[in-house]
Amino acid sequence: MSLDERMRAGTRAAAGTQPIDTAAAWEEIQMQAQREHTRRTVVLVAAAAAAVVAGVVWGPGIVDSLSGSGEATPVDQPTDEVRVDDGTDDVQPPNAEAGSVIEPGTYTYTDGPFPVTFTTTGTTYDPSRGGDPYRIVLGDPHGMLQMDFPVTVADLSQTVTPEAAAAGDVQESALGELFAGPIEVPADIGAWLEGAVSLRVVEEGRLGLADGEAPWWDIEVSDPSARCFLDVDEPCVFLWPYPDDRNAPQTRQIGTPVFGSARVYAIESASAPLMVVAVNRDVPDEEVSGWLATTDEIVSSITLE
Amino acid sequence: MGREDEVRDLFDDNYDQVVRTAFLIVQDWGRAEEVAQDAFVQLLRYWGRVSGHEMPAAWVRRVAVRLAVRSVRREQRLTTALARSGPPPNVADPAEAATSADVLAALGRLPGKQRAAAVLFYFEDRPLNEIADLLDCSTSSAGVHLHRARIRLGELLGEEVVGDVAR
Repeated sequence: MSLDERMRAGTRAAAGTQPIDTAAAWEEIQMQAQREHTRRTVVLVAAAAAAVVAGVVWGPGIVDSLSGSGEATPVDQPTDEVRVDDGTDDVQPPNAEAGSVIEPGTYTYTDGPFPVTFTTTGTTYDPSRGGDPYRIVLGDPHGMLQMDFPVTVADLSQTVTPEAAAAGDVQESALGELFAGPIEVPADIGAWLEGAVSLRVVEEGRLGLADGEAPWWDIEVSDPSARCFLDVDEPCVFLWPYPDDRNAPQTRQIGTPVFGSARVYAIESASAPLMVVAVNRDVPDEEVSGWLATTDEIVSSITLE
Repeated sequence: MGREDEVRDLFDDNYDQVVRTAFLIVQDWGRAEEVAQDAFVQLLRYWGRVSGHEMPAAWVRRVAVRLAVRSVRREQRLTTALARSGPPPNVADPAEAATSADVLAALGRLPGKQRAAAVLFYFEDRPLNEIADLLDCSTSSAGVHLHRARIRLGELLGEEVVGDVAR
């Protein structure tokens, strides 16, 4: 018997005889769908309420962005017009320009959910790794939001080449572009992630660092249909809503896209009270620890205005 | 016909096969059912959009395969390949059981996408372009996954790999 014959016979024998209760499965599917609908509605209502508490008037666009399924376009209109996604509407993907990398420079966002100025710089992460370019986004929205926990956020996403994809899991260890910047994130990140729409926490733990530990959460996109960019056909959810300045070309996107899955770390830093880093899951701990060893320099270079 | 009725028809036609394919990938009947049910929950949720697709059944299979591969990746971080092989499958003939157990154990040693490519090729008789679609990769990438899977399966099962089915 050849390998191919053996595999065909073996897979059919292994999977072909198990009885499957389709009636019970259909009932379970209906219950799950109802539970998901209820959960999404509750979270979206809570998000709209939180926006009111923060004194921010957010419209349908930003609510869609919280669900990870729409264009984040803050609009000036009463919050009672906020639409709660019932899970049945077609998803409108973000503007095609949304995927643009932020060019170095200083940008002031005046039509976002809050006024904010970001300064971006271009630099190189680590030449020994091949010198992948990344940009740091700087700014200070904290005073304007009157937040009591200024936050610096960084996202380490990945660049996947066709060759890397073809090689199997190679892309899991690749480090690519970095975006960083102050964005509002609750102090209790774990609870916040648990309540995030279209994301689920699948695992959590702690990473040992030279000067302590950093808690982490493995998250994944729970909605396979969610997309962040028109031209990237992968499940993706923005971890944070983002301001959107329509008058500033090439500066459309400040946010953290999660493609499929990510690991989020909460890190205490000497020069910033808290740093959150989202990296692709399955990056070896030592690689992350090594990267974090360079973050003091990154964080210390941020000057809050 | 309402949304639930339309999805129910698709469920009746496809659920059984989706579970069996998912089982070969995740190697656990309970998890296979969870994966299949999650895929159909998404189908129910997005039926308004997916119903306009040429082949809605392909959409739900694609979701299920991706969920299964992701499940394998999580599992591979937690357990060893040997532990993953699990109990023997539910087959009556001892000789057949031995064959299927060997095949399952060998599949269980493969990374997620290679495993899925092999299952779709051997169990579902899918051509390479359909495997690529279900794995959300290019045809050449799917060919690489399948090629590597066959080489490894040949080593594990002590069988000679004849020809290159990926070409």
